[in-house]
Amino acid sequence: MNPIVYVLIPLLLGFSNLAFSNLSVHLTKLITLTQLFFVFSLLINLTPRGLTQLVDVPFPFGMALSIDDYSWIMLVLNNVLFLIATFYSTGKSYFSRNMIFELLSLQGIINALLLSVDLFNIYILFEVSTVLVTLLIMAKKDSRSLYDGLIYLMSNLVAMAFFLMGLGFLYKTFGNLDIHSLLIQVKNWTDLRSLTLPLAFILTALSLKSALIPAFGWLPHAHASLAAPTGVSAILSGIFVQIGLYLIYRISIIFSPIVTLGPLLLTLGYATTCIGFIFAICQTDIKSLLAYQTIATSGIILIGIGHGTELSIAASFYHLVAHGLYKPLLFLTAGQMIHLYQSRQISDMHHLWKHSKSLSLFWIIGTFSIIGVPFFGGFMGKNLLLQHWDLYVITFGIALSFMKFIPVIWSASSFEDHTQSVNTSKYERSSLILTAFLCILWGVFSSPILNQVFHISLNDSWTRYLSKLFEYLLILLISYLAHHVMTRNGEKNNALFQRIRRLKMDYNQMNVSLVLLFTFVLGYLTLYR
Amino acid sequence: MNSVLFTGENISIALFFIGLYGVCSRRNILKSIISLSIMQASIILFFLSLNETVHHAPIGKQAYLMHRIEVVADPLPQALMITAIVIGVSVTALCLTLFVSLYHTYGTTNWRKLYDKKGKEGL
Repeated sequence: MNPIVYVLIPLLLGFSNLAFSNLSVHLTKLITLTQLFFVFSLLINLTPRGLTQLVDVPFPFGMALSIDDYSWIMLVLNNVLFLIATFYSTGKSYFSRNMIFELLSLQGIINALLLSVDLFNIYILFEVSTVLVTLLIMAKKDSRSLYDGLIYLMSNLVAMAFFLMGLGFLYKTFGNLDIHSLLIQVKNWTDLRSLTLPLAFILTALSLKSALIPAFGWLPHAHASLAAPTGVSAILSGIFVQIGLYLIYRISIIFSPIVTLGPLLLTLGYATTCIGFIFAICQTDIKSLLAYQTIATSGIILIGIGHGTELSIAASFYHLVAHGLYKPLLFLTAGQMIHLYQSRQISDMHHLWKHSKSLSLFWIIGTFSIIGVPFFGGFMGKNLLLQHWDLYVITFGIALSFMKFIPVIWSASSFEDHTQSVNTSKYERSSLILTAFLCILWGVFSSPILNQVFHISLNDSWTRYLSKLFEYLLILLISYLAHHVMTRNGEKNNALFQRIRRLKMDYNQMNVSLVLLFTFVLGYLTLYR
Repeated sequence: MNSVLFTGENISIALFFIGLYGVCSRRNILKSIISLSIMQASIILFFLSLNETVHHAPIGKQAYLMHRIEVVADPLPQALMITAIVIGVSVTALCLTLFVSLYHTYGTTNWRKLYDKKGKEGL
């Protein structure tokens, strides 16, 4: 099967849904069936790996789509996430024909981004996806979301201007923009000075897309926007941010024979992770907390790409998929909790176990996965990426940010009850169950999956997992005690927490941070190329 | 000397950073959108004047085939920039639409005031 179908069919379905209103009920079923077909066709390898020429002209003039091991797993993840988000949103008042069109178009465009081998096509697809995401952030047509939408759109447009400028320099140097031709040309390239500017421009743009430090200011606006539907937040956090990381990986592969990017990516990775969980610890809003955790995870994945070994890159992508499963689970459960308590403030939430045991279980599964407890989604990737002190520090930081949910699930019964009844629809329930099941599956069968998908064989035993389990329980206990000490006067009254919570960038500051990042990357490439 | 300094490439790079200065320093949303458009226009100029020299048309590549043409412009950047222009116009239009809606809602064109007003709403 030609991989172009992964791009064209969602777009055609979206247009049909807009054009034929009387068919919309049947089309919704067709959309779900198509997404299921996409997932299964990828899983049974109906589409061949490697290059598929779209026109009968050789490179660098021809056009082609390409599937390799990493783009394959990301394609599977993307289509699974859109299936879950579509299913979850079915029956919701905001799930209009326009939104279905935008969601399906975004699905097709993300598929195209993962398949494309031409950097200019990638630029165009990024621009279109930015517009679509802006519209999706404002899906509930709340006037307050206009600010979030405009901030997201304009900060990403500045980044894409950097990207296009980088492509201009690259074209000037090599005379083409297709990745396969670049791979061949770079191997014999000796003029390293000519690569400094294009790499600096492109890496800066992709760093903003991946929400790396210091260019992460747009992410809390976009992912924690009041008007963004929960399904959209799940997609943005689960796959859209990670595409920037995937492209950083592809760029680093192209230039790895002659430019050492490892120390730069490692520095950015560690700094982003630490800043991400520090901000997450201070949040009192459930969606903001999850948004900052996305930044922390981007950093962890970048650390693996920075190490650059076969194992670390496989572990990065393993963790990327794990994040793509547990973060939607957390976002979807958070959406249910916000509906239940009619508030996004964590301090307004209590008695969750009493109100809904299933929601509590989903939240616990998501939390254990993000912390990286053995037998849950995030364990294996994080353990392969971080093996020394960094593993314990980062795990402690992430666990600490989630300790505030212990009173949410099991609190004393002294609170007044203002909750709405839990009316989880069958669509919402099915999406949550599927995501939770995939999270556990990804954790329990980590070794066979690593072996089959990434061709990495590990000599792991159950006793090692059990010893790790004790380590994690100890970290959880220490983080609980630390949380207790830090919040004994009430979390909202903690002056340091308040100060960090207020640290949000406006539009001008976001652009200044982008310039700082550009200067840093340019300085690194000039000194250490 | 002027002809070496004022090449299309150099001017486009200068324009890019002027636009970047605008998006970093201007508090007015409309001026930010104009700065963004300057950045996009500068990139188009950059692509179209790649490898320009004093004596040749932009990008002199030998054409061996028809019509005895010996020096021609590279058509690929021109084709790419047609697409970039269309995308640029569309996103600028979207930015302006959002800006007008924001102005009607909050009554200000200033990023900082907008941020403060939004903060007061507890967002």
